[in-house]
Amino acid sequence: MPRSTDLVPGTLDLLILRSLALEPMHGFGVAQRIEQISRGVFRVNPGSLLLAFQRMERAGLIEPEWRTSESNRRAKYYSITRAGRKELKLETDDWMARAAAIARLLEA
Amino acid sequence: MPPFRSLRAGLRALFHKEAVSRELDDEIALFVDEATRANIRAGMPPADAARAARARVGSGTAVRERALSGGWETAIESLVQDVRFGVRGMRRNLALTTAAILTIALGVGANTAVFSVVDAVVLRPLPWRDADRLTLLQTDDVRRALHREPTAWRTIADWSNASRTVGSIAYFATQRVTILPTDPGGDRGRSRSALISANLFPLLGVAPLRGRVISAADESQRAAVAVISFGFWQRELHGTAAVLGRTITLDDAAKGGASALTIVGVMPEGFYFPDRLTEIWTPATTWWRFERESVERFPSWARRWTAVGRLADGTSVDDAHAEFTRIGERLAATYQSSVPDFPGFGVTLTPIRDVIVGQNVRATLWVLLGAVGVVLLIACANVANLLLARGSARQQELVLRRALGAARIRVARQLIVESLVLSLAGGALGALVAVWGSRLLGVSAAAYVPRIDEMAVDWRVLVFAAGTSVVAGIVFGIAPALRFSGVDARESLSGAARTVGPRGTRTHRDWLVGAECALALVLLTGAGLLVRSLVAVQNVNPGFDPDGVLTVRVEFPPESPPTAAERAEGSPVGQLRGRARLTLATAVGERVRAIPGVTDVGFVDDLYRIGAGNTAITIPGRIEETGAGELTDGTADAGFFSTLRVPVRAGRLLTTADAEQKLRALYTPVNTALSLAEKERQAVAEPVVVNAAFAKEFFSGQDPVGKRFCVEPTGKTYWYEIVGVIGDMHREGLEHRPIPEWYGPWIPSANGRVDLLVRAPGNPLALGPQVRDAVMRVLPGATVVSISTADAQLGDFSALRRLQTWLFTAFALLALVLAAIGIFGVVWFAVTERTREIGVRLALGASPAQVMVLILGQGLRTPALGIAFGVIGSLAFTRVLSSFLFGVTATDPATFVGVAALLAGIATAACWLAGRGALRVDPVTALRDG
Repeated sequence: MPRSTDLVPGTLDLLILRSLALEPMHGFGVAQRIEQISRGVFRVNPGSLLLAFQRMERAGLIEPEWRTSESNRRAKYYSITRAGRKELKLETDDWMARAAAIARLLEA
Repeated sequence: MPPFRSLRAGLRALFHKEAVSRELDDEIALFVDEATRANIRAGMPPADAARAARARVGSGTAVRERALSGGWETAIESLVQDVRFGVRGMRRNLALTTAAILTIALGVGANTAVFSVVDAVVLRPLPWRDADRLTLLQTDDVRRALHREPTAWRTIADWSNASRTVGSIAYFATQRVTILPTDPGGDRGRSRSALISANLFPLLGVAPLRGRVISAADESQRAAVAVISFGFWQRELHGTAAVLGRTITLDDAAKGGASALTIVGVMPEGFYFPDRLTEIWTPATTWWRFERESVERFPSWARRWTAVGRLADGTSVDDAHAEFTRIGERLAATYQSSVPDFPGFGVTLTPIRDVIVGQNVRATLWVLLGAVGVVLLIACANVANLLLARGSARQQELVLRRALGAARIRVARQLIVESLVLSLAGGALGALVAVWGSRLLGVSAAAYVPRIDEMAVDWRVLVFAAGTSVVAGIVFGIAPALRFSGVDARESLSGAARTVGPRGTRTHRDWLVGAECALALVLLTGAGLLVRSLVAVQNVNPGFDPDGVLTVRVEFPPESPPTAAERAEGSPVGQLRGRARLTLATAVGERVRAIPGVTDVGFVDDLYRIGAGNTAITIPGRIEETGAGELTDGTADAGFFSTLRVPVRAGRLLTTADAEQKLRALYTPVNTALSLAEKERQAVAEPVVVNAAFAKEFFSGQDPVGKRFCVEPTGKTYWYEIVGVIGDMHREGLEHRPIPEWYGPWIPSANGRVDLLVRAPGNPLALGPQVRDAVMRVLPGATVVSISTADAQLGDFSALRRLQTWLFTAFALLALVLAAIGIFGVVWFAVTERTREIGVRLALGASPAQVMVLILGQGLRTPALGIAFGVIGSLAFTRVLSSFLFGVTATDPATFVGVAALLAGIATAACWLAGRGALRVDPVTALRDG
């Protein structure tokens, strides 16, 4: 298991959008999801996460909503917007293209 | 809409800070909660689970601040913080703050005041559509050096047909009019009216406030209609609502009685054309001689009109001039003229802006704006110096901030923001200074700066003030920001701060003081040259004695036109009427002379003249006509010369008998069939005196007395005989060289104007009412147009120069004071830092004089350098002023040396004052405390 728990720079927004594309989640849910799916390679810093939420909310990519959590608490859930889905698609394609390119370079 | 969303969210974060951070806190708490639960699920004991979750999230405050830092509102918040910090700093250091704010207020205020004048006079658009492309087209009389002559209607029509560079060409001619009172017993109104072509108003592109403008139908039907100005409506018609359709009656006695005009329109407030005096516009075709004139092209009496047109897009005045030169050549080939005084078809084009506000006024204002801008620069340098001095004291604080992790740019921004707070406070106060200053300028320049009455402290001026303040704040904030943001934290904190900081600031401050001195010297040199010019102008001998002479402008009553019988050939009516008016004028003179305190009375057609001469003469034996732009004539009575104490150089002055002789000359039948020599010999000549310039120009080396010349170019039948030579009089003001003139006997004309001169030593103006009474008693139908003094009117010619000189000098002195303060501050500061060293020197036996020499030597190094650069700068700058100089060259050595010596003296005094304080220090105290 790699030691690094830092995110690849510039990918946080993409990962958040990807997570929210499945279902609306609160902050910890997103963090946990990223951690689980990446099998613990990436750990998300809460400060960065909330900063990203603020920024993306202002950009209209995600939408907050207060509702009751599974643990029966009032929690701020975020859901992806139409603009967010469009952005996710663009960013995903972009990332795939880069990743493939890097992979090719490393294998060459 | 992201920008909108972002704006809303940002505003919410700014103004509902509590709620927003509570929400975030909730979100963070939830995060910790969920993390704890997840840990428990993963099998951790609850206490460990909570601790691990908290450790993962870290400080809640840090997370919150981090999350909030992304929005634009954070930048504003920190700006607000900086501003608050700056204001606090200002309050802590009241003396410095006051000094800085006052300096900036003075600088910004003076700049804004001068700008408000520049704005009104130069920058604001003229009251016509696209006024920058409007240009006057006037006939150019190259032969006689007269460049702005009127043009015949037919020629304007030809121009109009031929030109491509100038679109529709309109034309106009203005004249003085007397308006008959609407109610019996009322006063006769005075105004100017313009006869205009119907296309003039469409060309100017201004809609009437009420009614309509002159139409093409009015023009073709020669309708007696008028459009009036807003001012005329208010003044003469008391702004009555029922103005359209009202009649105004002009006194046209000389042309056959009164003429009634129906008002069809009122122009809006602020509109004028071609000048502010013109208040009535009527169709040109209503001019009583229009039909007769409009078929002629050459005689001077048909050349009445001034054309005005709009340059087509993409063409320049030069293009248009080239085209009109070609058109002129074609017209000259088509129409041959035998009229001797016909100037040809040359054209002068003058952008109408240059007609309204002369180049001279514009240049004057720009120079003043430049000068006052330099004052502001010096003020900025001084404030920068103050801030540098304070910065040294604050160095510990700034070093600490850097050490605690503030980025250099953050500290620099803090310093710049503090400067801006200072400058905006100064600017706000400066706006008040500007309101007061521009009012003062408006009052003192009203009479001789056109358009200055349009001046207002409005948003344009306030934007200028705000902009100037911001620029000033950045200018004087840059030096401290550069200096103190770069302080190396380690070096300064390690206790060496007391000696490290000042060295750096000292070079900065020396620089600033050197620059101040250089700039101040440039201004002082300019002021010196202007003052010397003004003195030179005032030392010009006017050639007469204007002291204690009252000038009363009188308009003679109009007379009914001669009857058909009286107009017949050989009728004596002209002569009789002339003689009758002369008798009345003599009676006026006698009555005025009887007023106690009056010693002399004289009449002259125009005491002072504006513009060049415009006449030409023929002297027998010479080939061509001579004169024109450099020759003029006038009429005066016998009393004129003694009233003004004009010296006689040769021959005699005019007498009352000469007027009688002139009447004979005017009304003696002439034989046009003779040769020039015969005409000269047989003519009944008008006796005239000429000035010395005339004698020198036309009769150099001869005795002009007894010589004859004639003026009327066609028949050469009207002759003058020189009876005397008088000294030159500066009738165009002291700055103009007198040109050749001759004076014939004055014979009053109906409705004609004359200057009545009354010598009354003491206070001549006090006699004004009595003189007016005397005139009105003898001539009940006359009008006293204005009352002034010969001295005041002569002074008016140089009024703009005086204003410019005093303002420039005031700015230069302000610069000098600011520079002196700057030098004092720097030296004082340097000496204070060295108190200990000076104490040691004194204790070791140095005499105070020796120490003072040391202080002066170091303190004066930069001012001396500044003076040297200032001299170089002045050499370049004074060239700009050369058009304003009189009797002194732009590189006048005396001025340069004197001004440099003055500045050096002031600098030395400032140094000495600053150093004296240090020398008073008791060496023991200095050593102990230093």
